[in-house]
Amino acid sequence: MNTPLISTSGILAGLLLLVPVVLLVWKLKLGFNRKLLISVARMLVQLGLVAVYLIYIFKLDNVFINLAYVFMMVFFAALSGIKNSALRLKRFLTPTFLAMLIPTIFTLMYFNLAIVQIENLTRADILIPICGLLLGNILRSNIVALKTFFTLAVKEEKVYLYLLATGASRSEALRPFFKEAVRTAMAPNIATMATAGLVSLPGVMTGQILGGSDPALAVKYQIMVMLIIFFTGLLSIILQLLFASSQGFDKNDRLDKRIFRP
Amino acid sequence: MIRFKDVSLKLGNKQLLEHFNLNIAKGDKIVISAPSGSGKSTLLKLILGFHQADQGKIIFNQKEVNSENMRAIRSQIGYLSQDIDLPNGKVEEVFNEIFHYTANKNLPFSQQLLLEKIREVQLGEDILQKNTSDISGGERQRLGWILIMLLDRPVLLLDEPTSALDEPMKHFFVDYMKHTNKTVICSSHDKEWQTEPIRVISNLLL
Repeated sequence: MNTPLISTSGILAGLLLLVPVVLLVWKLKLGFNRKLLISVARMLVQLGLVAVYLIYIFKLDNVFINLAYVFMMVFFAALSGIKNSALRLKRFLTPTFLAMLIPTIFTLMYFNLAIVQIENLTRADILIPICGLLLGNILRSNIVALKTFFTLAVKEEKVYLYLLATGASRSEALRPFFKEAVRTAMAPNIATMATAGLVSLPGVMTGQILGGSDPALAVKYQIMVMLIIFFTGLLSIILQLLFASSQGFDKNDRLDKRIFRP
Repeated sequence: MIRFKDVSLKLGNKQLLEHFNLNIAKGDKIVISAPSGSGKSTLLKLILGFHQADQGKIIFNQKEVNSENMRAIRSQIGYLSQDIDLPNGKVEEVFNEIFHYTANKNLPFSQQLLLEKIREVQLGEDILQKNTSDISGGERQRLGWILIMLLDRPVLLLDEPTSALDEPMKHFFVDYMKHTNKTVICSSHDKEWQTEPIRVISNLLL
């Protein structure tokens, strides 16, 4: 390891950048200073805590603790995903949790077993960071997918009903919205893969190179990560939308408008 | 075949139907010419389960319409909505998709048949390659009619089905309806529909 350390004065220098940011936001009347500062504060506290407890989690490296940690991450991802959509929390939390959990767990196991080929499938220092990467991406794409799907279902309700009347089952009539939602949500992932290395060095690679890894290994990890992100993301969106199609409609296949928050 | 029994429905603040009764026998042809906003479209949507009556019941083929038999009932119905709400996409692909639905898979459908119908309603063959969002109201309405003819359902619910057509075309479809043995409920202000043997209902508040 030859990563240069960041000293306290270095941290303060970084935080100092917030001063011009806050001034600019205030001067330009952008109106999100409060939100911004709350977000920064949350980041400091959350990541600060992570720094402290990850040390212990890595040291203990206990199967149950590691898996419990993954479950917790998924839970918070699901919670945040639903909060960021206009849907009622109560009805969608469990399906969202499952839509995120199932693909994530499967992919993590596959990654460790078949790609990295390590013996300890729940090895904390791989499981947890990779899980974080997957979930960060799933969270974004699921929010986009749900939003696109239900926005279309409301906006194009007449098309949906017309298709039902031509003999479509609920899922057949929802197919145009389903396709559009998946396409919209997955488009950024496709673009990211296509521009990887040209526009920017992707995060995993940057991290590993900063951490002192051989660039060739860093590239291998990056490619694998992009692939598993795409795989998990697509699977999760499909599950999410399948759950949404069964939860968001009534027995007569009509869109149940009570699923939206008033 | 279809029976409205004491049906009441309020949408928003508007009482559209109040203790409404109507009996439609198999093969009957009915045109509803009640004023706009009086609930004609709603009446058709009630049969399709797109609205639910506050009171009363709707009988279809001797069975009360409910969520269990809704799918089966829909598959007996050919429906033309007011704006023919076809999904976005190439006309040809939209038709293909519809005839690939499980409920429609066994219907005779081919490019040949589609082209035949297209000529019958005096559309150009190039319509197949156009996007449904780029076609006129009249073309759209004729596509809706083609769909109805190809789906060949025993019951037709038609919501202003000739509003965007020229006179010869209106006559063409009204004639087609007069001679079919299907049960037809149509909402229309077009005078072409007010002809024997079509029964005219001009008021829904009876």
